Amino acid sequence: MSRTLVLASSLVCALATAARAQPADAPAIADSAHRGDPGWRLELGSETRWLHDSSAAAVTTDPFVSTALSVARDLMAIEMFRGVLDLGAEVTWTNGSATGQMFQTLGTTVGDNEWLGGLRAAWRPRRHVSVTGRASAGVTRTDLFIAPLDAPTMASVDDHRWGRVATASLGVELDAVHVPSFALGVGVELGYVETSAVTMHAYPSDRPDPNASIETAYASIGHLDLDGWSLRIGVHAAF
Amino acid sequence: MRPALFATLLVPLAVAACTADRPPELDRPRSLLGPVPLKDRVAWVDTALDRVVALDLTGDAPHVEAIPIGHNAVYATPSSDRDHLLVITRGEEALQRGRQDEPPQLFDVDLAHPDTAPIAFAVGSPFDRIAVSGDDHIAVAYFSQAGPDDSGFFRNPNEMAFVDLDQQPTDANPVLKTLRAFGTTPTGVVLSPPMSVPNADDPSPRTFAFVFSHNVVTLVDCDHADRAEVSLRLDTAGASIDPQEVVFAPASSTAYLRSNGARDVLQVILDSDPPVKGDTHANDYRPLLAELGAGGGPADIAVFDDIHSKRWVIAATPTTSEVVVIDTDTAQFRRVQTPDPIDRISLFPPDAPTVAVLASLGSGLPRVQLMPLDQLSNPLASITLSQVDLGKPVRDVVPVPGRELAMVVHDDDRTVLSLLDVTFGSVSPLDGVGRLDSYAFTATGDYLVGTAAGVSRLGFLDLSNLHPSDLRLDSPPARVLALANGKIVAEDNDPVGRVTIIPGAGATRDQAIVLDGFLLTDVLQEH
Repeated sequence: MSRTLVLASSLVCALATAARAQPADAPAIADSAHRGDPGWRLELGSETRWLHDSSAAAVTTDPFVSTALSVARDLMAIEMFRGVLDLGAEVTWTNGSATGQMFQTLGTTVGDNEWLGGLRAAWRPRRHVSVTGRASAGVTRTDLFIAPLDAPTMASVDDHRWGRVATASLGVELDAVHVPSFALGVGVELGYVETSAVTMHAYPSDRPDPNASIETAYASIGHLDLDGWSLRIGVHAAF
Repeated sequence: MRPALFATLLVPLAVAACTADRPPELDRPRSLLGPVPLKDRVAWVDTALDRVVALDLTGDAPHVEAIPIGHNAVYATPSSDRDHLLVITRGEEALQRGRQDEPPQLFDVDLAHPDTAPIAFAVGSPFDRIAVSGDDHIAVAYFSQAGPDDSGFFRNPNEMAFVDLDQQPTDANPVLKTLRAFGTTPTGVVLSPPMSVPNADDPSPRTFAFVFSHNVVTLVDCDHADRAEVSLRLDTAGASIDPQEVVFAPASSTAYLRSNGARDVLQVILDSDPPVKGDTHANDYRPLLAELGAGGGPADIAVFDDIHSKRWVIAATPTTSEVVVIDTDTAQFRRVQTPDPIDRISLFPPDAPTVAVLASLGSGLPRVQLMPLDQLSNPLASITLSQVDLGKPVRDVVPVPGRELAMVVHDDDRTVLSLLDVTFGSVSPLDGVGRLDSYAFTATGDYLVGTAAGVSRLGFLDLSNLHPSDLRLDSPPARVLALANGKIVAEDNDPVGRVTIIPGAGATRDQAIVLDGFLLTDVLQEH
């Protein structure tokens, strides 16, 4: 979890930076309402994550592809470096999956749902161009499904576990439309996703009612870790 | 903008290169060798993950053990005491930089002490059969008659590896040996119990391997496997002989060999024959051969010691409708006429037989004959057979361990069964839900446990009073195993592993436990 510490540190630094920028009478700071820029922001993107832990490689060789939906609120704007630095808070939900095989006979599907909250910073040297950065943390629900291929009658196993997740990313955004009270554009971000390893078990998908069945123990499949570098491409609208 | 463009293109590629290497084991086709019932464990060999997965059933809750072995396991067999598992692995060639060639090996996995690393013996060739001596002192790895597979170039079917399991692997252990051949290949290997060669300079008990081939039996002194083998030609009379079965009289260093195509039982006596001094590869014994007058070509033989420690051989010769009783001390024999062409002899009780059940499986006759064995040593006593009518054809006779009972199978599908009480000559028919696909007798011989395909139940038959009962399971088992510690394991033939463990016959559902997914134990980390 050393990477988690780095990400957490980044988050703390970002918060500290925001806190230091709080004095309302500072001349370099102006809230967005003063400048007439949009305050809310909605982003829909597609994120590809290259998993680099061996446990993830055991279940899939494909990149992990997610859909990401973010809602952000700009909190303040700071004029700096011949541009404007917008600071805001955001919440993000991502949902993704990847498939693979084991032993040429077992199909695997790994999926996750992440709920994140964090800070977003965007420095706009020009009106239509932004350099962005995010740091978020939250929880993730990881699902694993293993089923025999070409044998639908055979039993399959699945499990899901909750874990922690933290992300940090840097990116570039281009606004096709940027007028007072509205902006529309696209962006690309490169980041890193750190998840806590979760222990998965071989729970049968068709497990019967525990009150009506024989006491069952489930073997541990092992720890699954979905860490990896990520690339997100999305469209955003601000209003 | 060109540097920025390059950076934009290269960064995702660099990120993509940060993915973990996938272990090649996960992309291999996987097969499972097993389940192998052991004393208090059940083991499987995973040919993809190169490990033995054992369920430790010594405690109340099952415990999964995964023990790594070499690559590409091809065969596994338990030791005679059922504490160890012997596994032959083919090994692999190094196809990628950084990997190393691995030769074929025989792994001795001590499952009673799973923390002990398996002992690997370099056997040189990817043999696919193992014979183990009764005292677990010697193992012989050899090729089956399956023929060469798509791996390898040459295959020498007469090559064998003689492994001393009590010694650590060295250059001299195992001993690789190519047996002298006469245009034939081995069809089987039987290891003798420890036998001393009378009058030999070395009086220590040794294990002898009897290697069967068409028209030939080859003897190898396994404790001195570097010495020359002894070939016994069986076709000197021009007949075509296939050795089938050998039984031993270790106290007298004698073996009795039954062969298809042979007229008589062949007696093989090991006698001292001091080697020429300086010839380190010469044997200190020689086999003396004698034909015991069974006549007519024996179809089955059995050997036992009576209460006077006299050893007897009983041979069934269906072509003459006789059973021949041979006194091995004197080679004298008595012929007993049988009304049927007998081809199966079963002794009851197995440890101190008093009755032989004679059946005619080939003819499928609806009766068996009971032959008393307690008067064989009295030459004046006549041997009288008593017939037991079963009403249905007999296809198999399976002795119940520890009891004077035999399960009689009446059809090839095992749907019609009966229990023969050898003591009283009584027969009890058994009705079931269908084909008895898998069955086992509990270690004490108190219960018969059976399963039928697609039926989510285990059937129990109390052999003391033939009271049937059953236990409802949550899923239909594929096979049932009875362990020496009394536990019963119903296995579902599930690729991820699913068993129901019952603490003993008569247990209820509340006392059973299901273990799921154990064949995937730590599959995400096991590399």
